[in-house]
Amino acid sequence: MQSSFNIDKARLVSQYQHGTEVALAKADIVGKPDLTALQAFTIYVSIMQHIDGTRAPWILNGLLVRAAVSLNLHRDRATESTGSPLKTESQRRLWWQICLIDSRSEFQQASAFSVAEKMFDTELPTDLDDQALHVTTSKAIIVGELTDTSIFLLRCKIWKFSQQLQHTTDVQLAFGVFRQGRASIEECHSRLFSSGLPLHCFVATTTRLFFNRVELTLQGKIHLAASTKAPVSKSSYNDNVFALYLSILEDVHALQHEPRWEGWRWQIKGRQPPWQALGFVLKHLHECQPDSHSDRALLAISKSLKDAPEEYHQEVQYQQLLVMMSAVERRGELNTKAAPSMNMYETSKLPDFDPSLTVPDTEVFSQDFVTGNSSTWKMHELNVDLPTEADDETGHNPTLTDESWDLGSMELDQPFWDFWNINNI
Amino acid sequence: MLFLWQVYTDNIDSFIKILHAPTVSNLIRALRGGYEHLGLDLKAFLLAIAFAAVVSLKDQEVGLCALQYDETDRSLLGAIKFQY
Repeated sequence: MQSSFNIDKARLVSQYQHGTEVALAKADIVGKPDLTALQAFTIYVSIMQHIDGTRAPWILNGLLVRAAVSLNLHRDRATESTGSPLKTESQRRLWWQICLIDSRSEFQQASAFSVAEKMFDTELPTDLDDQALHVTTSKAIIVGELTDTSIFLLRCKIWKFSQQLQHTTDVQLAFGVFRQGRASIEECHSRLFSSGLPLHCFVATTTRLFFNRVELTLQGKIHLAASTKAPVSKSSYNDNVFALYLSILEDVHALQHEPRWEGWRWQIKGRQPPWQALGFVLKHLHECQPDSHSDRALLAISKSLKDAPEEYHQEVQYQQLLVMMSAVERRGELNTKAAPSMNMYETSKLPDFDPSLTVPDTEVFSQDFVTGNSSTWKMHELNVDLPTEADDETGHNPTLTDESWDLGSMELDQPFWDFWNINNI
Repeated sequence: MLFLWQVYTDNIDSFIKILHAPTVSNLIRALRGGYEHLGLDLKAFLLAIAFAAVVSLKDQEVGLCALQYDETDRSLLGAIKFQY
């Protein structure tokens, strides 16, 4: 964006990035590491992870880890015996931020080469305001009160929680650990999650999105394992997946578009629509009888499609979603039980879709949508299928499957555990 | 630098909580734009803060940043003697 001073953000970022890189090179972190230089390097690498991908920053973080170890930041006892509370906390915070950087990598096997809990005994940072960190005294901690460190501490706890999950190989056990860990974190930080302040709402949304993404995959794996042993009812599983995907859909949209969160959106890379979430929720709406969640789901889908950047409008998946949406809306009109209001979803503002595309049955939609195939979408009359007598008593079509969405086969590798990974949802 | 430090505390500091904000505030105020005699580690430190801040700038703040980008900030970038 150009200002009247003929400077745009990209140029400004480039200037300061280059300046920082030159300054860091001159600061000689390898030869003479000190806390100030390490803090500078840590800030630089942290930011680069969000604007330039995780590959190079993760490699650079290797240097940062070793420089930090050379200063004994991985040993809490050492810092406590020689430093003031301010110095101790500064060192703890720095070490933990380095751990957080190290947990983000696009390399699938990166976890084998990243910092693990067993490698250090540095305590979690204390939940204190900066003002309370005096050189000679320390303030008593009031549990539950929000401080300058609360958000950072939440991220550190999620790191520990992810570490525990990554080392739990049995998926049933992992799901138990997940539910317990999630409940514990949500209770411990309940004041943050219930706060209405924009910053806290942003943090709560990112955290909920992470938890829901993990739960979705764990449930998929459990369901897959169970269904290979014996036939299982898909209806309650599909309902769970639908609820998770709906929440994910709403949260991704908020993170990408909520105006009050723009200052923190540097942490969200890309504006790719959550294709899987959109496809699954629409498929579910098309197959099932309208219920109490239908209005909310249609609104969420409509907003996601309307606000998707124009560069995605010609994608096959986007076009297929528009056609599917049209079929769902038409079905809603025909269904006498619950016909959602068209105006409520602002559907008149959705882009026009390719008129040569019409919706096939939902099984084909699932396969085509996931693979990006459009060749089976033939020119024919819109065929809106109302539930038949073959459906089970809940109104679900028993032939529907979730295999196309492949939830059970997702690899629980390093990119999966990346807290900020909201692409490919 | 004061403007960018404010942006940093608003947009970055809560998430990358490695700095003691009162200490950094006092440092920047005390410098009063005199960066030439800073040690290399402090120059890198301030530039990293500024870099993080500009990354998080909202579009409408870019113009404000340009207004604030006066001789003192130019001397910070110039103090590490790079060409671009």
